[in-house]
Amino acid sequence: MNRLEAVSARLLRPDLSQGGTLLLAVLAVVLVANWPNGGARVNESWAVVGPLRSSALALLAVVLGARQAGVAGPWGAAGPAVGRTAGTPGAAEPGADTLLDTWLALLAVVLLSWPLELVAQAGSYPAVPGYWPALLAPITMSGYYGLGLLLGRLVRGRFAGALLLLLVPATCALLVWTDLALGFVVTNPWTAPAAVASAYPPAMVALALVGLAVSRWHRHPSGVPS
Amino acid sequence: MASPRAQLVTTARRPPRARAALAACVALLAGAWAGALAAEPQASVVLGVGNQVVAGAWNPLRVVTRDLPASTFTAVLDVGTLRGGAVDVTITHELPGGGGVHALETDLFVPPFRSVAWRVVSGDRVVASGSLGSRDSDERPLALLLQERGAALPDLAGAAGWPDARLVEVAPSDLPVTPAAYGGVVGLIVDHPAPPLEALVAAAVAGVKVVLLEAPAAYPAPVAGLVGERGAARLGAGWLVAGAARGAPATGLVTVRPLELLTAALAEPLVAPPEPVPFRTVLIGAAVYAAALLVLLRFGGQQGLISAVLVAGLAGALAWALARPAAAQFEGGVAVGVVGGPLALVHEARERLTLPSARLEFEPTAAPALPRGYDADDRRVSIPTDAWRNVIVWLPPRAVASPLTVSGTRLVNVSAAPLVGVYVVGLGAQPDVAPGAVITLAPGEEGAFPPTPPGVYAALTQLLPAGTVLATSGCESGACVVWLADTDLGGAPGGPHAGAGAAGSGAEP
Repeated sequence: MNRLEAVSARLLRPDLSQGGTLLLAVLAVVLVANWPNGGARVNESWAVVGPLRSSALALLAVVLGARQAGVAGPWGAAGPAVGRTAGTPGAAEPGADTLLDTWLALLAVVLLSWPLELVAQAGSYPAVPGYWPALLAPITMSGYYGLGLLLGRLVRGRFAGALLLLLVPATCALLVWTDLALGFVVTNPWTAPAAVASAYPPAMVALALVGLAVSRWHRHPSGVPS
Repeated sequence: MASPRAQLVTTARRPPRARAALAACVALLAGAWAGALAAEPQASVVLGVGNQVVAGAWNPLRVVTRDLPASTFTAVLDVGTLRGGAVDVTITHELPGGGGVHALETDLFVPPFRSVAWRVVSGDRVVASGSLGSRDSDERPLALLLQERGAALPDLAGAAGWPDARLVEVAPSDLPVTPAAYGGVVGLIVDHPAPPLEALVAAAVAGVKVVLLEAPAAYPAPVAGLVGERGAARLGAGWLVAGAARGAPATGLVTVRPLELLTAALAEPLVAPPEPVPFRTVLIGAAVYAAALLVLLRFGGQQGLISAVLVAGLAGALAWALARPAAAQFEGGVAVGVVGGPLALVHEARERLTLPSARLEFEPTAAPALPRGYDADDRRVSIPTDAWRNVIVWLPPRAVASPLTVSGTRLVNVSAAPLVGVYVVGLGAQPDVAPGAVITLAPGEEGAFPPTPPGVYAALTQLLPAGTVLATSGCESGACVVWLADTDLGGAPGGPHAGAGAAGSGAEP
């Protein structure tokens, strides 16, 4: 199974296909609802569509990451239908492959949902430079995917499912609240699109790297970390 | 009587005590002189004619510095309301330094304010400061009385006619020489043998009624020439009357304040936001796009994924091309010129619409038509503006040469640009007038207003008296000016506007 086929298969898994479909539907509805109608000419649709897409991608990514790291079976073998399974011939690092497949599938969702934001951005003519929303979506997705992996890894075990139900929304709320309370834009995906925030991309990259590092860290049967 | 030589000897032989007394007197005198010099402030600020501010009008601003290094003048006007809170307008001017006296003279539009605070700062030292409170925010116009210092109040019967105005005594040096500075002045009564000619012209052009109490012959020839032998003449948006003619009732265009005309011209927006992509197109497009993606991903396998990405790229490019407005900002403008004699007063407004939020920049003398916060300095006026919002600014009124003259029913285009959209209130549309051409005003189609500038004629004709000529020039270069001039066709006999367009003519009131 090549990479493209794996990503395509990952996109068809119920979690991602349902999440992606919901994302597209919500974006389309919100875009249409905020588009000027009935003689109105003021177009501020992007002020809703941009933050909504960024936040929805973050939520989708953190949920998938947490589920993958915390619930979907032994680490590195996320179940027979999730990408390549452990022990597949030619798969040198099954865990890493699964992560990559999911990340690429999320990247595909980022790409496919972009035109709905692009039409709002074009019509609204926001003050942010054109590259910012284009850069923001993939790094937000990556950062929150890393955060999800981190959370999943932290609570992996018998009650991971229940704990993640509480931990994921609580962590997201804490990050957003911290940003709002301190007046920064470091981790809040809703306020980040409105203006170029220099601290946001490093924070997201850091989250992604930490999540990746923690997910790759596992103990040998001997108990020595590898 | 002692000879000069003897006087010299006497002086030379003064005893030491007398010399000491003389030296003490000289020292005392020098000290007093130095004290007087030191007491003179290093910087002084005068806002308004005769230091009287008229809120909601253009006012002259004069800042004088003496023997001061390079310094900065800053004025902060709070134009907010009790309900909305403080809204600050910050105006900054750099003042040149060095020995001697330096004066900054400019015109400032002062909106109704809650407070005005100004200061002159040199380095880190405040050398002068002052403030005005909300009680000083007075919108009543000024009636100026120019007379020699100490003279008795003259008989103003027949010269006044401004019951709401504030009477302010001024000296010739108090009178500004720019039309904009007279924005808050309705009348100037001259009881002075040598009034400054330039100031009289500026006042009259600005729309002020200038009343010379004596007959024209009592004034210097240039001043007498302004009013002519008959003692009344139109000039720009105002008029001058002298002697027996001073009680002439106002008729025609002088009954309308020029700023009111500009405000009427702004009844219709000068710029419109771009037309968005139709709602239905976006609705169908978004639905089709989402459905196409789902089908491709569900049934296409890896080829479907590639196709979906390609479709997304195509849809994104198409959406950008269709929905992106042509420009980030749109600008329009209109100007109203009131013709009187050889001069005309032009009031100009600009409107700019910005799609992204931005700081809109205008000429340094511009001022927002509605009270709002902004910053101004020697280079520009900068107004923070939200996305998809517009700003209308006024530019200070200025005097220009009249582009047309009207004498009886003859209209002559004396400018280098064609006059289009010629229309006479009560008479109807007239043919266009090429540069240098003459037309005879005749009955035409009433209500046939030109499409450009949109809505301006319809709004202006509501205010203008019958017989007023409207003509437009400069629209092809984006700087439309609607010219207004009086004629005798309105049925109002006499009046100071009669024969207004004829250069240098002054009609008997």
